[in-house]
Amino acid sequence: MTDRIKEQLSSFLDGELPDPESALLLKRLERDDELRGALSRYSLIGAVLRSDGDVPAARHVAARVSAAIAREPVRGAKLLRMPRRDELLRASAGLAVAAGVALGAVLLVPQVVSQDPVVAAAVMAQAELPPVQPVDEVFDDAAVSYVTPPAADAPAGIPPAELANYLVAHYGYASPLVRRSVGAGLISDDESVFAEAVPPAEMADP
Amino acid sequence: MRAEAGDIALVRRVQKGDKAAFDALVLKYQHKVLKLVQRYVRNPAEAEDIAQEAFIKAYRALPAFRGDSAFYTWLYRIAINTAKNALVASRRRPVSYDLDLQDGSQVQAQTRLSDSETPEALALTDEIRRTVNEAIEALPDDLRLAIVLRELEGLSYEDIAKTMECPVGTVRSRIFRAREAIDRSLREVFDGGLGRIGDLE
Repeated sequence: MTDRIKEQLSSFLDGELPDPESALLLKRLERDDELRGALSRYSLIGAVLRSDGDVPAARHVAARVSAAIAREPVRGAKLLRMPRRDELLRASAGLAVAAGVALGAVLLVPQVVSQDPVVAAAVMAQAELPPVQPVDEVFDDAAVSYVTPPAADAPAGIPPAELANYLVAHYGYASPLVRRSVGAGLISDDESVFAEAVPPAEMADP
Repeated sequence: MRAEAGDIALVRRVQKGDKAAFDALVLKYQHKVLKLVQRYVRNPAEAEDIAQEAFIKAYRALPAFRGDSAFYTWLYRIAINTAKNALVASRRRPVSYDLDLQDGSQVQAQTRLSDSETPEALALTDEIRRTVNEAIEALPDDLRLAIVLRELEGLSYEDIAKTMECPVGTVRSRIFRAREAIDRSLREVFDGGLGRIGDLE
């Protein structure tokens, strides 16, 4: 350990060492026991000078604390703890509500699908799509190319007129955002169809 | 930069995950904390345990430290509370009830001897005090004045430079040389059998 390092240590103890040099010195302190001893003695000298009485020399405190905090989690990481009873109750209630909603969806959706002709048509259209072609069949040809698969014979979606009728019938139950976005989509896709389905009088503001 | 600002800089490093910065704070304050704890618990080994516990509590609480007060003031309160809790736990009476718990500078030395203090610890403490004082007296005037202005008056290097009418670099060098001279004497004490130098860290 050179005098230059020890002079830096002395300045560091007084808070007079610039930050970049402090960072380097801290790194050195981590691995240099002699330097740690010097820092401890320098601080002991100050404590004795400032004290009216005796100052005991701490012999093992720093080493033990250093070993203890080495086992501590890194700063910023939250310590794991057991949840409290009220937190468990709240979590259980949330799970119960979520389970109820999921069960309702499972029970109700098939009925909605089967009762509503428009939705049923859409579901059936999806069901009638041709089966997925196996990969080895797709890449069977020597000339492999990225070709768009041929369109299915069955309609891939809901016909615009039927969708427009469905929207008109359920207009009152949809949220304003859905009404705007779906309606706008329909108008932009096929304005004439939507015009047929919805009489102009109903589209006007009251 | 003053010592308190240096402490705050170290605290910020610890708060960002730099454990070496906390090591430095422990090395800097362990003797003061131990002296404080020994007002309550005279057994040296037990006092070291409590000082250790206080530092670990401080480390865990550091994320909440905002720097409204000086780091040592904050650490001081933690050490006091830890010592008091240890006393309650051991169902013993404190050494003194008339301590001012808010101001460390107000705490005066109490009776020095108790049946739990070891002769070796007392001898070492006496020897340290005597050695430091003799080494200070033996210093050249410029070194002694520099270290006294720093340690006793708490002046910054810049203020010491103005007082002594010399560059800041000279102040830095004088304070270091003063410490080194005193430290040489201290190492002789520890190497002389009253304590091994390697133990003191």
